[in-house]
Amino acid sequence: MTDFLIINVVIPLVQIGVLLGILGLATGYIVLAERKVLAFIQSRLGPMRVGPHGLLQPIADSLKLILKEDLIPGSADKLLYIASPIVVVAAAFTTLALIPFGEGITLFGYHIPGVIADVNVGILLILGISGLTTYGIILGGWSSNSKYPLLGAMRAAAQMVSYEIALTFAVLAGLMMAGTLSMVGIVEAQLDMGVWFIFVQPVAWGIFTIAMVAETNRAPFDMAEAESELVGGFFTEYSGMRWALFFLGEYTAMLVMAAINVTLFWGGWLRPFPNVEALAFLDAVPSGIWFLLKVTTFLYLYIWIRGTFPRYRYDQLMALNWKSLIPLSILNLLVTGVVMLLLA
Amino acid sequence: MADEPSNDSAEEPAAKPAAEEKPEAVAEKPAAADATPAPAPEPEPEPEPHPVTAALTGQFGDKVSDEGEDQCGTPIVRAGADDLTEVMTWLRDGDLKLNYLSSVTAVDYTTRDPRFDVVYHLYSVGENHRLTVKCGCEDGEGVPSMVDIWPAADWLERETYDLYGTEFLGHPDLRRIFLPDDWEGFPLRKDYPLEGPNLELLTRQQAAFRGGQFDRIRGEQAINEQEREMAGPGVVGALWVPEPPADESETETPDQEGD
Amino acid sequence: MLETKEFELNMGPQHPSTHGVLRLVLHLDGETVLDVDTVMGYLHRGTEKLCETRNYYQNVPFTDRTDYLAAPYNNLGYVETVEKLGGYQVSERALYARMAIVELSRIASHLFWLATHALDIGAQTMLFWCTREREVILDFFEAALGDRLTTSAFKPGGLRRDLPEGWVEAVLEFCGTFPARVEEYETLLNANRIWMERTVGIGVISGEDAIALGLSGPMLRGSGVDHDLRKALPYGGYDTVDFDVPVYPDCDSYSRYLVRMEEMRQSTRIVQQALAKMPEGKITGKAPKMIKIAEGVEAYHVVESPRGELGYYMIGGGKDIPYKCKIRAPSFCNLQAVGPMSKGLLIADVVTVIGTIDIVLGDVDR
Repeated sequence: MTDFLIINVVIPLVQIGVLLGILGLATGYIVLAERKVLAFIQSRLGPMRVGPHGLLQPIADSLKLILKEDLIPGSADKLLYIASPIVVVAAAFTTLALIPFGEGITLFGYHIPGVIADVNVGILLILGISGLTTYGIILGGWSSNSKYPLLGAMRAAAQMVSYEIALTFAVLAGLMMAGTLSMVGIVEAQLDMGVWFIFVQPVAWGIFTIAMVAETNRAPFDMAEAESELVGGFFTEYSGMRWALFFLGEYTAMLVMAAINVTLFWGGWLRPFPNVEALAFLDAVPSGIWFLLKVTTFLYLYIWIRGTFPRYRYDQLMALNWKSLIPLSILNLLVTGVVMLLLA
Repeated sequence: MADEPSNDSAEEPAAKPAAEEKPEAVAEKPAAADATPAPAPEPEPEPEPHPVTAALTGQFGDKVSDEGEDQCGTPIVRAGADDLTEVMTWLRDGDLKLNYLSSVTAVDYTTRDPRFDVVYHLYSVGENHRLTVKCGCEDGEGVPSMVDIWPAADWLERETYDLYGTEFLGHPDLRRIFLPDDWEGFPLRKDYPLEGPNLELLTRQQAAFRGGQFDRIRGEQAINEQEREMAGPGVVGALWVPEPPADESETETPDQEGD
Repeated sequence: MLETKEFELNMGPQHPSTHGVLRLVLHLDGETVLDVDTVMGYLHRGTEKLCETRNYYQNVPFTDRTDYLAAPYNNLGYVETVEKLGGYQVSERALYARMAIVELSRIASHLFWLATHALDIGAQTMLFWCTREREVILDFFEAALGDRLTTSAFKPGGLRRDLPEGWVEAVLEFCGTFPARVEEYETLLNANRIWMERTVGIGVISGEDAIALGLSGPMLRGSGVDHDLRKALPYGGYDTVDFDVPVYPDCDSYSRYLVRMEEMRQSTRIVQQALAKMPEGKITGKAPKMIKIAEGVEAYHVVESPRGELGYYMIGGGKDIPYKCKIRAPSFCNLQAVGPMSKGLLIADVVTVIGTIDIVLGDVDR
């Protein structure tokens, strides 16, 4: 009974607590990292004032945001206006529960898995829940009762729904290789095959990476925000903590998408060449570190792209998706199926 | 062009070497002291009209009158409001090919009749010559709009209307462009005070300053100490105008803004 | 069938991409622009009225405040007009010093144009890369003219004071490295697929329409009209230096981009030549301490500012103040094209169109 309680209640609770605790801080530092990396790309210094090299900047920022006056526009739909950032953040945080961060460790005789909930339809659930983010954005834009947010919400709705198709097709190609929907299972399948899926599914990976940038509303696909066109898009009217929640949601979504990318195509927590015995010394590095390294690389990629590319126009973005990515992903799926059938 | 015979030398300073400016400056002194500017008398006939002007007068005869050249060598002609559309259409389509309307503005001569000159600066992008066309316009009346000839005239005429109140007949959308729609008065008219038409809107310090130095340009430093303090630092100083030096001879000017 | 209706969107006066306090009322069908109403005047300060109340020397700082991104060019336009009015001679040293300074200001202006235009389209990095070089030029201005932005650089007859020691060498060194920087920008943008999709075929205006609408500067040259006042009606010694006028025939935002990039290189050439030709001697020219222009003496002088044809129409009034001072602002005339150019495009393209026109609201509203 005690064991049951510990395994099913205490350990998940501790995991959730640790994850949320870390995440709050991590998001702040991802923002700082983004500012620093962008600054590096743009030949400037970035935040330097708060703490050494601006290291305390996230804390100062969050303090400022929390202490800011809570403004709700007079004509806004109050309930939805308050709810939508919560929807975004909740959806993003929930998906985190399904991401395997490592192999897990054994503490006090109990095995603590590297994932909070290893659901057998993990990836499906992640895609489903992260789809909820769209609702948060649409509702946020609509409930502000203002024109720019409305346009931003419209863009977000169309864009995220469309890119979800390409994204899912790309994921499907990976799933066909793995033969499971479980996130842990996918990593284990890559261990069994002895090769990361990126080497067998490069096209799917390319599509997934483009779609994930679009799905998280990041430059050059940040149509919904489009600072220079729609001022701030769906969160134009938001300020203070509510705005920060959207921000938190966005960066968590970035993290989740990067994690899915790593899990699906880059072997999750596996070290490079997991089946090559000669590289066994790499096992000295804990699996969680490998995972974080890979995720960080993808976060860097996000920022790098942002620092390099101009923004797509709304219709071009849709054309890219419907005319290139989706047909390509379907084709890729078809080829994968045929090849698998022939090899089987 | 010339306002009085004694001032002839000032007419073509561009042509004069710099060393000859001394008598000119002296000759100008009485003109400057003259409080009310006399309206420009009839232009003297130029001995050799500019080829552009010659072509134009050849086409239209008396409808346009030659007004010489400006200091940049651009010929100036004057046309009546009734003939303006015809003349301008020919200027664009005819031999002169003045396809580019550079600027439209007006000049307020207050006491002259007609009160305004509407001034068009034309240019030919292909042929590379300029022409200035002037057209008299009485207060409350208008000149024909040039929008149909040069679409560029649209905003330029709106601007002129906004600031001078000269009507442009036939303009599709003649409303104020810079000032609010309910603005009263036309700011670039000479009788429009610099501070605005509504004295009650003036702040106390501005009013004090206004009282202290009525003539903004040539005003005596009649403002008393209290008003000077109210006006705040810099305000009076910014309007300080250096007295003309007794010796108006040509000198090198070290730094005019320094004070 | 659902009922659809026109959607009216207020873009500005406080909007990140209207480059100041421009207000556009967009009539939209979805995101497609049906019509554009341009509302301006939020920055109208009555410069022309003020110019009629100050003497010829005191007016120079007003001209800074019109096109504040290329203040020296406005100063040049004004002082050259005054020089024409009075027939004052400019010393040769001042002539070339001015040429170098105004061409530097053209580079600075184009750099800032590129920075903001790219930022509007979403290329954030360009902002910082371009301002990096612009800072250097502003430092030159600070050293030579005492101010970075509102330089009040010139006075009728010449410059207010001589160039500081070592200035020429520093500028020449900058000119040596600058073309490589332009190439750096181009590697980021020229063949960038997104940049091309956002600018090619956007904001098209034919050369004929451009002339009829009174557009000037890069707006004309990007529409295939080979017209540059520095060549057509040389002023300020431009006929003694060698430079090319870039012309691109595609009439869209991309060709205007190419025009401005090339102009930066050509301006560098002009600066180098001007500094090489600049003789020793007095930089303050010959003009009386109190300029008086006789009544009725007038001049309409145009210069090719970074934004296009900048004209000053001045009439003397017999006193030491001008009777009339009209500024023909290139931004104002070019902005007229925003309506015709953005019809049928999307909101995102309106931003591109505003950017490609390169307006400065101080210049539009005066």
